Amino acid sequence: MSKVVNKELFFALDYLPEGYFIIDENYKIIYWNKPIENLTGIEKKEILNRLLFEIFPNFNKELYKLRINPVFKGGPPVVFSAKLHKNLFSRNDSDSDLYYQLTISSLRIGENNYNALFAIENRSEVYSQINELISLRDKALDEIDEKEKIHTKLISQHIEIQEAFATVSEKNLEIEKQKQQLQELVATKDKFFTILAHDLINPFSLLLGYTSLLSEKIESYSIEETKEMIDLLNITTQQTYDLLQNLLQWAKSQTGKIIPRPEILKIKSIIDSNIVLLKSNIDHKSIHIQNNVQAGSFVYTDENMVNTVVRNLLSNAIKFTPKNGKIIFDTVTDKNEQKGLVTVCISDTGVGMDKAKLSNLFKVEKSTTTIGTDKEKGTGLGLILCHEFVEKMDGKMWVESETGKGSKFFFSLPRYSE
Amino acid sequence: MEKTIYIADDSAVTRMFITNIVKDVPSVKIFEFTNGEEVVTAIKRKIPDLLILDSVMPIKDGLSVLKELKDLNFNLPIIFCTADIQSTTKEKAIQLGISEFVNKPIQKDIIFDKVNMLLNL
Amino acid sequence: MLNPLQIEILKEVINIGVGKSAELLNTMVQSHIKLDVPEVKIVEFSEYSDFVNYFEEENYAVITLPFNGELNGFSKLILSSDHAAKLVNAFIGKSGTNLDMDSLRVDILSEIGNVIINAVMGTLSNMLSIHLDYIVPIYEQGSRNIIIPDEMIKNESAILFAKTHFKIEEFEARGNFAIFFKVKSFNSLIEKIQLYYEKFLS
Repeated sequence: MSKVVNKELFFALDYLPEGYFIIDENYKIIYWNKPIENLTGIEKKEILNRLLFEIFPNFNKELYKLRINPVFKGGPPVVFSAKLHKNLFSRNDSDSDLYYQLTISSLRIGENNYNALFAIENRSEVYSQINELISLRDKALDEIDEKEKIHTKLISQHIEIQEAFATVSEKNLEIEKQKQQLQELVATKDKFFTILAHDLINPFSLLLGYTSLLSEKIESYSIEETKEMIDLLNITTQQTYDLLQNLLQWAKSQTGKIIPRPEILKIKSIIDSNIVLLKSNIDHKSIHIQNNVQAGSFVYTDENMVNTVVRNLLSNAIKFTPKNGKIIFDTVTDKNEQKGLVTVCISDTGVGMDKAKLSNLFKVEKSTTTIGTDKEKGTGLGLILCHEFVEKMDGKMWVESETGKGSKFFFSLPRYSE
Repeated sequence: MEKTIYIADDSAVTRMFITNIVKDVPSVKIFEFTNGEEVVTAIKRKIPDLLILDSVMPIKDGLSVLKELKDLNFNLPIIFCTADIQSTTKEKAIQLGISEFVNKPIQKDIIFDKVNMLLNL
Repeated sequence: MLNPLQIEILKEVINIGVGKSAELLNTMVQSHIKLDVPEVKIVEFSEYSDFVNYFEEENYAVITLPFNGELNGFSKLILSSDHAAKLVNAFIGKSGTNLDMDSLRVDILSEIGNVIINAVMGTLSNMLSIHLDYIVPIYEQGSRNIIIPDEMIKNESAILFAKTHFKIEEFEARGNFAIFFKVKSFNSLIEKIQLYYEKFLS
């Protein structure tokens, strides 16, 4: 049994550095030491014999009484931490936080009679430092947060700029493409005017010249002379007609009005009929012509288009083959066969072409005209048209040639098979 | 007529104490169980006139037993006898249909009175 | 030593004490606390080295309540620093998670330890009718060497040891509760338990 504490000795608490006060079991304050007067600003004489919760209302709460009450039965000391009970000693709601670490111990003052000794450790300074550290930390965290936000913003701006660049270069590509298309268009237009201005005017001036000669002085020419002139007129008219036909077809294809209408065609027959059509030109140059294309080869393609291709290639071959030369049509067995194509080759014993000429043969903007072996005029339009048509018919067209060794024009078209 | 009481508590001493209190009640038969699982199985076979149930037990605790009995629609008087005196525990137990909430340690007169009352003696 | 029934009574004392502390902590944190006392045992003087080896962590926070009167000894709540931090966080929220501030932790752990120890000691004293006097609690932190008081190593003694688990919302803290008795006090404790037992069954 612990010793009874003499109440007369309570005054000794005045000599301790920390705040102490004592209450009895009715929560009446019966001692108030000097340091706690300084701490709370409440003097001993004004607080003595008053109830604890009259001064500090929070002590009236059940939670506190529940824990403090065992002290009046000699129970173990009770601890209230500064952090969790910072309002315990608040006198009203406007009081700032008071960080007092409180330990309440049992004082035996008689038989079954206990007082409670409250020991207060002022932790305000420590907690103000802690709070300062917390606010510093929060501030630092806020700053980090802010920096991260800026960083994120910068990154997103960077991405935006990159995207903008990508868009610009895409646009540039598009512009480049459009520019190219425009150049092609301009070239097409130029070509058109060149043909109109040059290639159509020339034959007409020739036609006009001969017809006026014949019209005015037909009597002064012999029958032979007259026939020669009429033959020339016929060939020129034929060529001009061909040119006009090509021009018309080409104009149509440029405006996208040509749509292939495929049907089953015997390629050998198409070649034969074109040979017949150009017979006068062939005979004029005494060219030997052979059609070795397999009779059993059928293509599935547009008749008009394939006619244009064959006629142009044949008339070109005639144009560049010298008198007594040789033109041969043949079918070729190559890798295109596996792709379901029939390849036809037309070879001549003409003047041939150099590499530079070969590479620009099918390009509108680069095409040039070569004068034929019998001074025939051309426009270069024919080959461009052929190339375009073959591609439209899902086929291919290519050339093999060497200067002075003749040319071989190849075109392949979809094979028809049952 | 003889009344049956089931006691579920993992502590042998507590069961012994309760049995010792209840044995003075006239014409009762007492059955003891050491966890929640056992007592639920027993109740499914035969519903007692009274259940004295502990809260903190291995395998199945008191609150789980109460929940299971409620789900099974068993209605019987229950004294919830527990060391876990949290108000939140008490609220849950009352919601689950207990008749009486008794704090441990076991006090003779309290248990005796409540048993008598609930058995309508 | 104690017979199984006497140990059962001590288990019940600890359970009731911990349950009582849970109600107080519940009102402090305004939240339900799941509690469990998975193991209660007596550690005899000869088993002290095994007992110390059970504490494998580097640092521990120990709250000690010395007592005397009818029994002499020390009642202790022993928490590894990890679990001490978890318990503190349950009380002040996550705002303190990254704050390794000793003074703040010391203050709060002193109070939490005080609540748990007082509840258990109060229950022991009330149930078994043992009069005890107390000295103000002490907070210490350090290695496992601070767990057993010197006085208890120098003189034959015994420990009533309980593992306690508290689950407060998402915070799960494991603590160890130990009451160190001088051997003479321990014998008195056994007598008190026997008296309680006999009185109950009379």
